[in-house]
Amino acid sequence: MSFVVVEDVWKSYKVGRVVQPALRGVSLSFDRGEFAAIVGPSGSGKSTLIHLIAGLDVPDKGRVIVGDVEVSSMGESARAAWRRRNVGIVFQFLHLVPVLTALENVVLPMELAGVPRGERRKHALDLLGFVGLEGKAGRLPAELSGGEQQRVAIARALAADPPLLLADEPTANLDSENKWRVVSLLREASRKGKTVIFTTHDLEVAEAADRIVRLSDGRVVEG
Amino acid sequence: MSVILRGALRSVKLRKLETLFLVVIIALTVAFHGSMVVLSENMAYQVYIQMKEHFGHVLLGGLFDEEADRLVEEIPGVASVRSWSIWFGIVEVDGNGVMVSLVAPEELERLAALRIEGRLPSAPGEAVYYRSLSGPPGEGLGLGIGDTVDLRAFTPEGRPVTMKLRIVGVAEGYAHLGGLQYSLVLSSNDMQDIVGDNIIVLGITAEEDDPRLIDSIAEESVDRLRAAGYHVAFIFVNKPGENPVIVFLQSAMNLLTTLSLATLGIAAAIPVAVGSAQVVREARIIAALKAQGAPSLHVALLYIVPWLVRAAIGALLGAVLAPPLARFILERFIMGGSDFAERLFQLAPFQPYPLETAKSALVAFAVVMLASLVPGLIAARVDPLRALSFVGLTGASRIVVPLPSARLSLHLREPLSRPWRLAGTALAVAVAFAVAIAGAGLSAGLSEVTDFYRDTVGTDVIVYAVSMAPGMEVDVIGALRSVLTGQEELYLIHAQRDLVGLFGLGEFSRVTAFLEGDPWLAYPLSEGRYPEAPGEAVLSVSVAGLLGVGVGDRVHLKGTAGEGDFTIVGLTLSRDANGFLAIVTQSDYEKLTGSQPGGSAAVLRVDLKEGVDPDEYGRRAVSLLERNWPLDAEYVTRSDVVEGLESFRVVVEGVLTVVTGIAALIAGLAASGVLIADIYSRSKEIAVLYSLGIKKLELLTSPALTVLVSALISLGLSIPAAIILLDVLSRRTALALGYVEPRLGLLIEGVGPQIIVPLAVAFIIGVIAAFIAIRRLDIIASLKE
Repeated sequence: MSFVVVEDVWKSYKVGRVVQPALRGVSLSFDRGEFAAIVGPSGSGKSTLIHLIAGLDVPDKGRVIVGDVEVSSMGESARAAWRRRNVGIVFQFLHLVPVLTALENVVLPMELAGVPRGERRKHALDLLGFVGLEGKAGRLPAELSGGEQQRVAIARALAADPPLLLADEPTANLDSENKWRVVSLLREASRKGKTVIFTTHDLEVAEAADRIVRLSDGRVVEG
Repeated sequence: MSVILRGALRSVKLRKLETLFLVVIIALTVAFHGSMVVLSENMAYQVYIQMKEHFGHVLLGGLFDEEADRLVEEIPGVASVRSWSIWFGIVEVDGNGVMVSLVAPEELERLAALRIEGRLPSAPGEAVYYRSLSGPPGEGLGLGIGDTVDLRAFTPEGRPVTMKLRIVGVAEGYAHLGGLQYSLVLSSNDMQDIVGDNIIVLGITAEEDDPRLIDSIAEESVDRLRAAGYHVAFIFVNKPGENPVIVFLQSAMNLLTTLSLATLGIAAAIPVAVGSAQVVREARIIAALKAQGAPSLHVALLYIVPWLVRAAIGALLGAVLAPPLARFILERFIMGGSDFAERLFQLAPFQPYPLETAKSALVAFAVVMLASLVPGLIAARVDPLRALSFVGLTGASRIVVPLPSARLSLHLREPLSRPWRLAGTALAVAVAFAVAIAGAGLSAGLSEVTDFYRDTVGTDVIVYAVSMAPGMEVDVIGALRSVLTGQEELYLIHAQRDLVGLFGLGEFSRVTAFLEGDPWLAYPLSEGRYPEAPGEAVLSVSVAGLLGVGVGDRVHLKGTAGEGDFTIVGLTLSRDANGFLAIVTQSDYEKLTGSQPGGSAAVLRVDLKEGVDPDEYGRRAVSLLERNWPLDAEYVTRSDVVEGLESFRVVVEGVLTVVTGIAALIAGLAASGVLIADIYSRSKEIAVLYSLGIKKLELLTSPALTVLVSALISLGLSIPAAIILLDVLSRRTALALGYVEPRLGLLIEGVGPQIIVPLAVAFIIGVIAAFIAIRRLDIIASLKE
């Protein structure tokens, strides 16, 4: 049975007075532990699809089901609470909380998910070790390079041990070395049983995934 | 350069939130302060015009005749001289004698704002009862058309006159006739019967409204009359924008104008906080501009000019709003009735005083200009290399103190992570605090005065006795001595006279000389001794503080009849006449006032033995004096004095509460503007936190803590600011309220309850605004940016 099901999802946004369709009847499903890439040109709806699966937004029409939960029918607060335990998200633009250290950024989702206090720090340090930053736990984001920040973001996304890891253009701003480092971390997460779905412009990066879904003008054209 | 300016101007249009908040805040502060100034100026103008209409530019009181009139008329620059008689009598109301002024019908007709029912007296035995609305509210003497009233008076020569008068009209207006709240307008025949051919008042109108001409006419007329042997008892000079009533009024209005001026400082909050945050956020754009060769000045202007444009729009709007707002307050809340206002406005049309509102607008503009230098300088100092190499979200914490929880770290560090945002909110709240604390300090000072009169200097009973027949010798001291019964613990008989401009400040002040008894009873000294020789004086602690003088210093005192230099030999704690008080020897009293101390008026103050009822004592004393002597007598008890002071303090406190409330509201708006702009500038960070599962309500913790941390910082800032403000406020309101020397103790006394108002208002407005901003934040759009 599929872990993530996107069923005839439609979504549009109002830009000024113009209604801009983002997704037009997208239907997809992803299995547990799948490592999938979503590719497509700018404006094809990649980020919108990630946001809907993450429960950050709800579709105008259609359903999004993760596990046995219909995320698209939940209220805002319920989605926020569900997200804490079930989804880890990595953003393109290195969105670490600037006032928290690398370690604290990783601990925060665990606190939100109610992970017992005694486990948090150790697990966070393990995760920072997993992304190769065990020596920089006390640094603020401003004291880390772009690649390091993105690796902290991956550690943060994995912190609450969510079954689903979503990443929106996680390698877009990284140099070649860091890019492949991030891809291998995502692959490693998938190997550990997490469903990993990421968007990318970079076809070389997409090739690393087990499955490639191609979007164009808000529709699935392949995958 | 022109591209930079165009960009700056476009920023005003595109950054609607910043534009809206600054324009609204500037408009509010300018309208608030401007309207208070316009209100004050209009009230002063109306007083001037009413007085000019009534008596002209110079009013001289005394005993004059036709020759005196002619002497004054010949002075160069005099356009006209009016001579008339105002006299005094006692009417019996409910068994009590109440002193009223007596005037002829033409006096009533000359009043500007007047409401009259019935008709003017045309035959002997008829009278109009007039009540001045400028006095304390109340039912007055309770006389109506058709009532009869008994009048007792003395002619200037001392002949007693009694009349039974029938009230044929009832009138009220703002002017005082003869300085008293109640008057009877008698028929010309009855006035002639009492006053005879004596002229009591000379009203002189100058050819022009030129203050220098008016002053010279006043001096010349007094000199000529004295040289011709006339006794000038009272001088009142009415100049445009300056006469003792206006000076007093403006001193009272300074309560509003000074504090509203302080609120203009709140305008600095938005440019400092929002402008600086914008620069930090746009550091990479600035770096790119600099990399392309843009000079630092141009970059700075890009972040200064938008604020100046916004300030100009807000200031203009506020300046336009101020006059109608002032007129509205004047008509609705001060004049009390629009028909009166209409009549007064016909005589003295409402003046918009554009120069005064322009000054408020300019001050607000200057405040914003100075504040906008902060983002301008930060922009000019951006290091392109550092800015271009920076990645991630802005706003790193400077101090990383390990805390047991990441969530706690987030909420506690976040408020401290953006110093300019903190500075902006702290600045806004500090101004509101300073206004509140200074107001509370002033109020605490007035409260101390009340307590002081209740516990220290107040006497159980004060009996005032004034001769009803200035032309006749009356032994007032003997009369007051005859009242003493042995029921007194201590007593003091002294002379007192209220003069204009004794200390050269354009104020009403009191000069006092002791005649008999224990002066410590009413005038305890804080240091020094009482005057013993001519040229020595005791001043009140209050006026000495205001003038910055002490024991051993010399002051110049100028009375109605003479002037001279005096050495201060002591300071008294008494705050009679708002502290504008000088105690001199009997000979100096005569020199300054032209009257022999105790010759026509004196005051008896007594502290009673245990068990003696002050009211009973007072009633008996007044009855004895009025029955046996040609005197008007009145008494007040300690509780009357304390009650009067208490009601006055309550009124002042009410005004201060309104001003504090407005300041808090404006500060709250400024704080919410800073917070909303901050939330929009941190939209990505908030969106990330939301995507991690933090509820929107929890995201309010940081803005709420920002306001609280700002409040703590601002409290520290506001104490020295409040001391300065209280000093300015106290000096500017000294004539109306008495000078309250700023002391930390006074401020601390008011800090408790007073800080809660601005804090609560700023907090509630700020948090509600932040809540709305967070609710409305488009998380998806923020993540896509």
